[in-house]
Amino acid sequence: MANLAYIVVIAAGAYTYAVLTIGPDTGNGGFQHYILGYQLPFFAAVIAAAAVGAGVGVLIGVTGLKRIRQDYQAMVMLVISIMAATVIGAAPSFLGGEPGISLVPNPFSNLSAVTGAWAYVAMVAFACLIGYLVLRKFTGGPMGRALRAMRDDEHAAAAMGFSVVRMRLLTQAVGGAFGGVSGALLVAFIGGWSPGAWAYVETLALLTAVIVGGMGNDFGVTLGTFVIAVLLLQGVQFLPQIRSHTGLTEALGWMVLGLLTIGFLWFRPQGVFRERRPKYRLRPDPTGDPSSGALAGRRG
Amino acid sequence: MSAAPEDAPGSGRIAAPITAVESTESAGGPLLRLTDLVRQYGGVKAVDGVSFEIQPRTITGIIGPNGAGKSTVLTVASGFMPPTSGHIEFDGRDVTGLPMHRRARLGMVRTFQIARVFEGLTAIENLMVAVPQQRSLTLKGLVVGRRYWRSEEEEIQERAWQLMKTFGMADKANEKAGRLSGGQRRAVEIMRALMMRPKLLLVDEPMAGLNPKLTRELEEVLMTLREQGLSVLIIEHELDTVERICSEVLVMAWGKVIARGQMAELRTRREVQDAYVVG
Amino acid sequence: MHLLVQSIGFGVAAGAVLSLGAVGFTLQFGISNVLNIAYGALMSIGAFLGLFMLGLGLNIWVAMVLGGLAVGACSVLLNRGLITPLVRKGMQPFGLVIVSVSAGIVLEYVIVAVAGPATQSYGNLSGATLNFLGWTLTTAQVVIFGIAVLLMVGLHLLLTRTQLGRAMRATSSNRTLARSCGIATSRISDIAWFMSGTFCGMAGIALAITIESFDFTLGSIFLIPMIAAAVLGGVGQPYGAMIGGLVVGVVSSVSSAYWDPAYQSVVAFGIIIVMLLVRPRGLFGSSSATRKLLA
Repeated sequence: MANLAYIVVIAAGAYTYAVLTIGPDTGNGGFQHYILGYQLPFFAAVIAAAAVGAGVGVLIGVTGLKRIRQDYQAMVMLVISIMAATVIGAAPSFLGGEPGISLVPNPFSNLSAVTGAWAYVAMVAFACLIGYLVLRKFTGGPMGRALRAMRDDEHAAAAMGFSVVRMRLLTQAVGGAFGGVSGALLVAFIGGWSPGAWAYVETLALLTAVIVGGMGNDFGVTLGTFVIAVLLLQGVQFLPQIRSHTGLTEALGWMVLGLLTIGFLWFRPQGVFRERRPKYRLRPDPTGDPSSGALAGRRG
Repeated sequence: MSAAPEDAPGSGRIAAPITAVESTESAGGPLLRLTDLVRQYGGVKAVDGVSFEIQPRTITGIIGPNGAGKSTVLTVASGFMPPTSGHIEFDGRDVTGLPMHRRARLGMVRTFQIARVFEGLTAIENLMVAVPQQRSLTLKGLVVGRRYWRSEEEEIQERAWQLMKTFGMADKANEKAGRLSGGQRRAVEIMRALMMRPKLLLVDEPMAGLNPKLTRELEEVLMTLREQGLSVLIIEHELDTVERICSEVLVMAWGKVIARGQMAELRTRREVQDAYVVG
Repeated sequence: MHLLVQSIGFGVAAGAVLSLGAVGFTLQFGISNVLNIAYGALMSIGAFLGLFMLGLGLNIWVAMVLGGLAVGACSVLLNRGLITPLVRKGMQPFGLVIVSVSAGIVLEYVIVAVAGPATQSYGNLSGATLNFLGWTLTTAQVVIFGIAVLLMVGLHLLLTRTQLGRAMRATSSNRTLARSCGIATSRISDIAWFMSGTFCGMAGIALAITIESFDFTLGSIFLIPMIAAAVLGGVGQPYGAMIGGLVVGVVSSVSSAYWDPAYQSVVAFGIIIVMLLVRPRGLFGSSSATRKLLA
């Protein structure tokens, strides 16, 4: 099941990166307030963001362990994500409150603007590659098989000796680490983070990416994210602004996003790319014709 | 695609995948022992003080009218839900508080009344997934990668193929389990349980919905497995089946075991007939 | 002590609006079994329709009724055009939540596209201040409270005294059985969505009257305490939602009097999460409702 509170994990990573790389909050005239401020190097902060993301992911996952109806669980997740943003926004000295944290150091600040931007692109591409390779370990091969089995029927999986709780929390932790890193990279680029950056609608953007890409397909999800993020949310900025209606173009972006989600769920719920299934080939066997026998050939 | 007699399960070929059933000589005592088992739903006692033992290498049947508490006994014994009171011992060890997946790892594996397969997985994947402690699912397996688990994975695949062939379903191996017929799903579920090399199989009406010929073939399979060291606790409505395969039969009614013995003998007993008529 | 009394008074007034919204939410859920997250957006539509009608010079209370009916129609359209077809296609509850979230966001931004993202206000409609039992309330608050009570009593009579109400309750407790008893469940569904939308629209306008200003996110912000009220009373149970609305209203009002008001909504969040995880049937829920909720 998709985690509708995933945006919280991304935010946790972003905040972690921000407060670990930025200087103490007494700097710059003390106009903003936050904890820590350790000025750690980039990689240390990214790793910390991954760890915090994993931890938050597990915490959210714990609420999902209670067996209630799917739609109730979805609602709990949505409420958790809205609640987290509200609480952070209401606590001004913890993580910057409603205005958030700005002036987060850019790892490429010593390069020129253009070179820095390309360096950032290269870094993100590298992170995606690493992420894809790690993800493959989980979704391909026997581990992926076990996870898909658990997704299909948890009771039957437990009857097969799988610890459903452990595997669920494991996937939450891995997903959380991914979210943490992506939050860290995001904030390193945009330089600031506030509750407004991870509201309820942003969750929809993530969902759309996953649904359009195809829930069971890594490649699909990656591509879906790219298309949604780049084309829709950034692309609308290049449309001509309609002067009489401020915010209309942004509104159109969100409307398209919502309609896209509904459209895909209606017409092509499996997404653009289907889940791939491995085929196991029959080995040559001397004992005879494999297709004969008791339950062969019956069709329901 | 009818099966020639020599291809039927139980005619010897089944030996290969099952020989690994672990022996249960350790304690010398019963394999499963239920003591004063009670399970309440609200105010109703679905199971009301049931005690019995299952010896190694036996097939024990539970019969009784609907609502007698047969499935509840099996469900509680497998750890799917906890008993209200009472004790469950398996292989000389108290497992009353253990969750279902831990009991499964100890060798007590159940199937469900309505066959549950992993619908999104192919038939053979359903089998291959049923080895919970396989190396590929450990942290080391994730870190080291394929070279740590490849040979084990190949062996698992080999065993899965053997079972698929024994059950005559090799041509369905790459079919999604969600597309299989009821009988094929049941076969997949039983094969999946056997992949775990269980000591005790708990099966709830495995013959339901199978035609008479398939029923006989499944009986053969169970008896062959018993010869190889497996114990089976089976809930079954079809008394002829019970008579053919079970060495001991428990009759349940109103949450209690009201009679036990061999089927042929039980058929003549008055209280058994009463339970069926009244229940 | 005065602070406590006063905050309870405000809580009751706010709770009346909450109850109105929560009853609508829970009525539709009880009958169609779909969690409609777009409910918040429908509420915003109601508030903006009210603004539009005020601009036309209509009396606010007339606007409230008309706006409610219009949102009721929107609600039926949402069900007929989107939810029912998807349910027929076999979509799972989780998918329906995503669909209703998406639909809600689309509707919200339709408001933005039509009326712009700016903050709006009905102006001061609160009327004279009344003193009552040590509470200081505005005329508007008292009138809204009265309307809410009237609607609740009306709903109660409808559910218990009429054939339609019996059919609705039957459909809510077991849809398949109701259909086999000859109840046209899809028509009952339409009626439930319509009533739900009407309550929703009226609650939206009532809310817009009582708060100083609002924008297109009005409904989705208010959705949280409304869901809290519905969940507290046991989702799908109108009477539970009435009481739940009052409880949530009073509790958040009192908590914000004694605690940082910034955390006011946190109380509602806490109620939802704790109730859903610990006692999903709600405080007054029956065990048959529980079976419906537990997977």
